[in-house]
Amino acid sequence: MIALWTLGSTGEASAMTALVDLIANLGPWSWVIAGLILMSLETLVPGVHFLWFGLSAVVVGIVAFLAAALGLDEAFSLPWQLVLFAVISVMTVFWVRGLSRTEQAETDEPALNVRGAQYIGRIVVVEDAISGGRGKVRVGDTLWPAQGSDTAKGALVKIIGTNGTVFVVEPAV
Amino acid sequence: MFGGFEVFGLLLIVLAVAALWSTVKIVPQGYNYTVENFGRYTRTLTPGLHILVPIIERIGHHVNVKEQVIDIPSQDVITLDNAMVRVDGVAFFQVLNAAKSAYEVENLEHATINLTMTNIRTVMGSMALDELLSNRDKINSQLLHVVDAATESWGVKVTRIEIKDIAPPRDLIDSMARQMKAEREKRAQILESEGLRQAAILKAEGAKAAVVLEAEGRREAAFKDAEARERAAEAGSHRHDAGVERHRQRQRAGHQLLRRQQLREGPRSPRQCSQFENHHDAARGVVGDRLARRLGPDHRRSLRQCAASGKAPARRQRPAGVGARLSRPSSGAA
Repeated sequence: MIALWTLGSTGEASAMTALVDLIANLGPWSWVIAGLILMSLETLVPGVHFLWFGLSAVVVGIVAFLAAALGLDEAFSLPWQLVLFAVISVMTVFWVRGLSRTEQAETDEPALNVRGAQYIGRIVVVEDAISGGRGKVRVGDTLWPAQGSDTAKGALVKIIGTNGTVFVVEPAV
Repeated sequence: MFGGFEVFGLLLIVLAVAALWSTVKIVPQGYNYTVENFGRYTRTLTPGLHILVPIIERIGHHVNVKEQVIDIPSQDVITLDNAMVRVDGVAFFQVLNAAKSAYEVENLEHATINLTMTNIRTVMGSMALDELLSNRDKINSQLLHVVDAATESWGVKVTRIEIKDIAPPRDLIDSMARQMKAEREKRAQILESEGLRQAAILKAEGAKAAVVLEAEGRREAAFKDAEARERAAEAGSHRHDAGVERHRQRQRAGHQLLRRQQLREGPRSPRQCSQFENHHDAARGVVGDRLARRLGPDHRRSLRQCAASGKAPARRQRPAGVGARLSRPSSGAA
């Protein structure tokens, strides 16, 4: 891969070497800069692709600064930085998932896109008598299959659950 | 600078990127993603952030769980009374069970459309054209019944099926238009003639009323005229009667004067005496002696004078004839 890089056109090769030199000159700052670039890309591009990489790049940059401060510059060489970057990216994913999980519980519409759940608790009229455990109820302007104890047509029943596309009903009193 | 370790590091990053890209999934609201474990469905991802097991799990289908509308394309249907109509419709459905809709049916939309089209043919083929055009509700609910039952096993709820357009052939439309026009014209003509009839009746009634009033007027006038004449005559006759009354009174007064004179002088002749007698008899004949007594003292004095003076005629028996019968009061039937 390195050979590929060096065997590119002279323009490309010179650009690559210039970039590498730039990164080397910046030192640990390059990580933080890369992290910030990635995170700004993240906010601009729809979808979540760069969030973890951006965060972990910033973290690796901070660790590199600490290493430089503590004099562990040589030990914390590029490969280790890369390894750390990879590991922290993966860990960031789990951390962000953990964060979003707690927010998942609070939402304005918990039953959004779950059509059946939205009707639980409603009292509706039986349109086709429930016999043998199956019948139809009129909900709003449509007919839904219903499942429950035998009920005559015109009786009121309450929806207590769903079973796929079928409502589980019990007589409402 | 790029030794083995560096390359390892770089490739590790590449692996991390690839892994994260393939295992971290954001499911947008309104979609459910199915997860396949080496090709076998295991679970459904609801909207939010999810991490899959890296190599093993893959996303299978992106299932839209919002309510969707599909167009039922136009088709020609022959109705019960052999009219060819062009029908199209629209169906609303929502996936309730993402896994079933993804794996139990191949190409859900295609299946639903075809199911609806065949059922339209069935339902409409059993109705006459007029019934078709006026009972859309019934058709819709029948279609819904059948199609919903079929899609239930695919985890899909069909909420509405509506027929959009029922287009009979052009010439049929024309004759329906003519029928309607004829009906309206008929109504218009009926109303017109009704109006004329009413007008004629009212006119005749008016004329009748006028004539009756006129006649009544004349009758009233005649009554008044007669009354007026009567009054006038009465007034005239009153004067006449008054005159007659006065004349009679004078006459009576004269007679009384004469009578007194006679009584003072006494009877002058036997004829006078016989007259007195006749009067007396007549009076007696009518009501008996009572009236004779009522004839008055003058008359009885005259009789006595007659008898005393010797001028009274011989009493002769009058035959009981007409005179006596006439003098008698009619007792009972005459």
